[in-house]
Amino acid sequence: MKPPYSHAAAALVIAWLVGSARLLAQGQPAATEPASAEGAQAQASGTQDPTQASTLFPVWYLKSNRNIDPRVRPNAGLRTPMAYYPIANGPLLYPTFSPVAPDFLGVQATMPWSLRGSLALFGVDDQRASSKLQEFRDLRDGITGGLEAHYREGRGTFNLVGRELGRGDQDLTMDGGTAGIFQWSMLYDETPHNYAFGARSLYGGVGTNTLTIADSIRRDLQNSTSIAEATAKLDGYVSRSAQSIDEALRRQRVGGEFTLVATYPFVAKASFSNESRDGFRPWSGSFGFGEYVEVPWPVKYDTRDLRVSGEWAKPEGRVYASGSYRLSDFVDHYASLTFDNPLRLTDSANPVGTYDGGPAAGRIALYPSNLYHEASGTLVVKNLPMHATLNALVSFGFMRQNEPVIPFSTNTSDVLTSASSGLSFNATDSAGLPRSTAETSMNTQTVHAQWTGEPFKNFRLTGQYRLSKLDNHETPLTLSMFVFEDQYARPTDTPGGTFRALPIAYATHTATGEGSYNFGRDSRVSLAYTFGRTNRDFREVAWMDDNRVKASFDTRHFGPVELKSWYQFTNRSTAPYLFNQSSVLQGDPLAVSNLPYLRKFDEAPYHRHEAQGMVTWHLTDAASLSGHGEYIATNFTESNAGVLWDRRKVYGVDFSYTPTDRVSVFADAGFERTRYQQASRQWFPATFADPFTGETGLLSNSNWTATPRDHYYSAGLGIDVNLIDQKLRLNAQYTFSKSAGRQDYTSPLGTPANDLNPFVPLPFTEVDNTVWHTFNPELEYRWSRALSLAAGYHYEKWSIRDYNYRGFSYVDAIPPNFPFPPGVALLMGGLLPPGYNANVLYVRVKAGI
Amino acid sequence: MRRMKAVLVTWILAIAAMAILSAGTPLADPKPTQERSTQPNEGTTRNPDQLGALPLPTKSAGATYVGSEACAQCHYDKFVSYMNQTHSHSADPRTPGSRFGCESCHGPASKHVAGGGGRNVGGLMTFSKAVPTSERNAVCLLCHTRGSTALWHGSAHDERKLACMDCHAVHGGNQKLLQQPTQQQLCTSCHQQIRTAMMKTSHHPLREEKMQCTSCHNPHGTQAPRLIAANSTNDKCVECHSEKRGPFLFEHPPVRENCLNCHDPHGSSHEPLLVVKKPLLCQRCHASFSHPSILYAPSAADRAAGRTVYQSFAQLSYRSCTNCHVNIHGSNSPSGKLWHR
Repeated sequence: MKPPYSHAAAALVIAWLVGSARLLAQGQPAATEPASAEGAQAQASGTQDPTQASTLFPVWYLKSNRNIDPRVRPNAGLRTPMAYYPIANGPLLYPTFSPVAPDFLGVQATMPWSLRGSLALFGVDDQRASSKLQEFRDLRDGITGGLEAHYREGRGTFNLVGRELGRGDQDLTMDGGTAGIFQWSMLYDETPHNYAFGARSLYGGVGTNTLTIADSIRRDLQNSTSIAEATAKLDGYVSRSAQSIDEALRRQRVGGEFTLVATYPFVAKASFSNESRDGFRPWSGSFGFGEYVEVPWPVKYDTRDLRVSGEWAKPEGRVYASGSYRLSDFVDHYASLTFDNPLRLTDSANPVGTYDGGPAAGRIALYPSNLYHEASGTLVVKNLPMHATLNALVSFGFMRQNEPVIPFSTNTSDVLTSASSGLSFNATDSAGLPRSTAETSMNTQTVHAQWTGEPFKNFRLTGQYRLSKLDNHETPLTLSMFVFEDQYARPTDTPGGTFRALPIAYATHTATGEGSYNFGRDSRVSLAYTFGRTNRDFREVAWMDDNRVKASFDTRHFGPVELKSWYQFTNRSTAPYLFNQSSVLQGDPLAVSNLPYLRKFDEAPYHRHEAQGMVTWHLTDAASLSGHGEYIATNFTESNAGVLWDRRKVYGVDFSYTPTDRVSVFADAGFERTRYQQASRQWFPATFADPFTGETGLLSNSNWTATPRDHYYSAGLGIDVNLIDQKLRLNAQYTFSKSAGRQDYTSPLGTPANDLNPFVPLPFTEVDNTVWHTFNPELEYRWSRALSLAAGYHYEKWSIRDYNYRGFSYVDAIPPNFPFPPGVALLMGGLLPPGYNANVLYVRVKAGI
Repeated sequence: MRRMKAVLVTWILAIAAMAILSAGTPLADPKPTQERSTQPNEGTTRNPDQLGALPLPTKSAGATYVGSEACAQCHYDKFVSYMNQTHSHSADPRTPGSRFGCESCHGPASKHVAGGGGRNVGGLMTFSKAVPTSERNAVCLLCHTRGSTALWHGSAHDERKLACMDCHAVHGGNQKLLQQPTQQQLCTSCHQQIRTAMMKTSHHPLREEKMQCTSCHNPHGTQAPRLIAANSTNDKCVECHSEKRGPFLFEHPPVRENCLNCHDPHGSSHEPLLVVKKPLLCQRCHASFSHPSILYAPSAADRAAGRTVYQSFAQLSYRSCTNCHVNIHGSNSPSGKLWHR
């Protein structure tokens, strides 16, 4: 569904024009430029009686400068020196006050209205060059507008700000109220997410939860006698019959909030929002080993959020108390996705995993609708003995999901319905399920308490306890078997065993003590210790302990130089690692388990060192230079497989310089390097590499290690020049980022008799390597405070090199790979956005009253 | 029906704007000065006891309040900036404007005025960097004791001696009185590594300004780690990604415990926001027999054959493991034990 862009744009432009016309027709005096502040000061220097009304002050009027211009350049975090915007000439402020001037000014009240609009005309040379250009925006030829309106009368206020009006990434906020009585706000926001332009799909019904391929195609492919024949036929059909589709989602959010202030110091608030997501995203489905299809996954979600809260606090009081309730209702309008198998017209009982076996269609359960309730209470007590503050939180959450359960399979062939398969019911009939609805339920509890005080002068002490708990109350689900990718029924490896959905649960207790000492002028040193214990149900370790020590040092003692730094060491220890825990608990103890030497990284003991520092040197009042560095090193001390270690280094500098009030420059550069190593062993049961029956030690020629690394580079440069003071302004910004990824591998080299991977592994040298440039100069001429015209050019270039792009084809024959049968893949190309060079020209007029 | 709803909402909003713009409410007419009521907080002398004077940490003992008009005579630009934002809204009992105006924060100014003004005259609170952070913050914290600032004392930024003025400019900030036009520009002035992260290929729409730092964090203090504005990281993620809240029939345990086990929300070069490219991400934990444990690396024979088509490994190319294990966040299908369905 396309949003009513034209409606929104037209309505708002009409509204603005009507309002402006009315105001002009009433002949209200336009707001005049204020006299200089210096004039006011000269008038008032020492001789004025402040109690007497004065006509000597400049006219004071409502003004605001929210950014309502269209978004063109990325917000790369380049700073705008605030000193560059002299306050007397237009602070970038958001007015929320009454326009009635105080008595002593003795001047007429300003207009209670402030209106400003921005209209921009864009020309984009190839707006469909790549979905990456438009990933979260709607940059295209045509006109878009921004609008800002403010109104004040007595105690009443109203504000409206809209941006990108008429586009797919528009947003509009309104708020207002009566001071001291109530406040309200409303929001409308659209955010696109474009995944792919021009993806190719054989499926019909795109955008729905039933994807079909013409029977004639499937009949022809089902009659293929080999993988090669099936691949060639499918390739031909894709070339002739595939439709071109744009894969995208759109988020639309509407919300409002009401705050009752009249009962101050008790303030009550209620808010509601509805977020709709519509569209489809590139996803996958499979029919056994090696055969998978890329499908457009339908998205039709609504999330309704309701919150009510009350809080009580007086400024001069010691107590703050709040309570809140939240309800979040997620609705997925599609319970499941059915997608045709391109290679089958009829369900097959052919052997497992063959390209010509499997169902005529697959069915996937989509994200289920769910409901969440949360109740929380917070208490803060200040001004306790030792200048202490105590704060505490208790929160309870309830997650519920009880959607209908779909049948095991869509496959009606004998292999799934006969008693010989071990199934005692028809796998396609939901009547045979252990229950008809999910009956899943989880509760969360959060408890937090913190005491912060100063028992001695300049010495601060903080103690904190936190509990974060998840309880799983899911009705136990026990199955004798399940259906593997709609192809075949899979029983447990243990005769008479069961598959049981494990009710995952955990509880984390954390206690922290920190002492800090302030010395000198704004210098501080601190030491903190944290102990954390996580108890888990149904995972490989029953508990984990984290012991963490952190030291920090900050100072502004050295004149213009500021330093912030910290170091932290974490030692994680765990209960004995039970690598086959999940199999045992699921009722299938004989299931062949994970590699026994592998510690899952989120359950593995480690030592971690982290350090971070930032130095800022205020060279002059107009210039500053800062540098930062971060280093994280983790060593998994008991892991012989899985993640062994990881490293992360980040460095950067940034510089800002405002030599005059008409020139400002800002620049930054950053570098990040991540690197880690992980190990595994390639093995099959009953082979020499089997860690249980064959090579039971750590050594094996079938072992391998991978050492991926990623380098990131970023840079930015911005300049702002007032070529003609208050009239002509040039602003330009350049940003650059680059990522370079690589994966190196090692493996002992043996022979096929003693090595399941008897080759020297080579590296992948192009792993999500991207380069991105943007350049945006803009020239703005201001006729007056109320009218300006700007022209700008935006250049953007993005390129990617990754092994997935190399030799890509929409249909691929997957050769036999070890004991896996061969298969065929049918792809859309929905995950491979091409690079682009985009040129954008725009002119923008901004006018206001 | 949904389109109708969207159209209806759009027009209701527009009509509301039109109605207000065209309201019959008269525009504010200039009134003769003598007809305006003198607001009690804009008088020349006021009784601090009656108006609930706050214990300001100033050195102006014995000084009295003189009224904002006195301040405006010399500091007109500051006065205008004060009047241009929420603090001045005298009808709201929560504001300095409803109490002593400028002097609510800077302290009683009689000694400053009597001394002829000037820097460091009269013991006013100046909020310059020469004043210790704790003293400057104490003024703001006299009133900002609720809502998002209720948990400031003992928070991470408080512990690191961040001053309110380091982020906010009461006399010259933008919306929310920030020192920079946007949060992205403000927060990354210290958290510079996030600036690099924001520029990565796979990212949340921060640089498109459809999200901002406070979409996930509350810099004033929270009761969760990393200043997350929710009870936990996962609670925050599912506020927007509520389809992944579940619970599901078949859970994926590391997903339930922490989204950050697999994702980096600030940015990544590996779609979608993954810390590591698949299949290596999944092979960190899964090394059972057969395809999870296979070494998916090119060989010299591949190179010699000119093989560039890595699609031949379904477990390596394209979506990799999630080509088949599609419901990786959890499955609600009875056949979803391995997240295929």
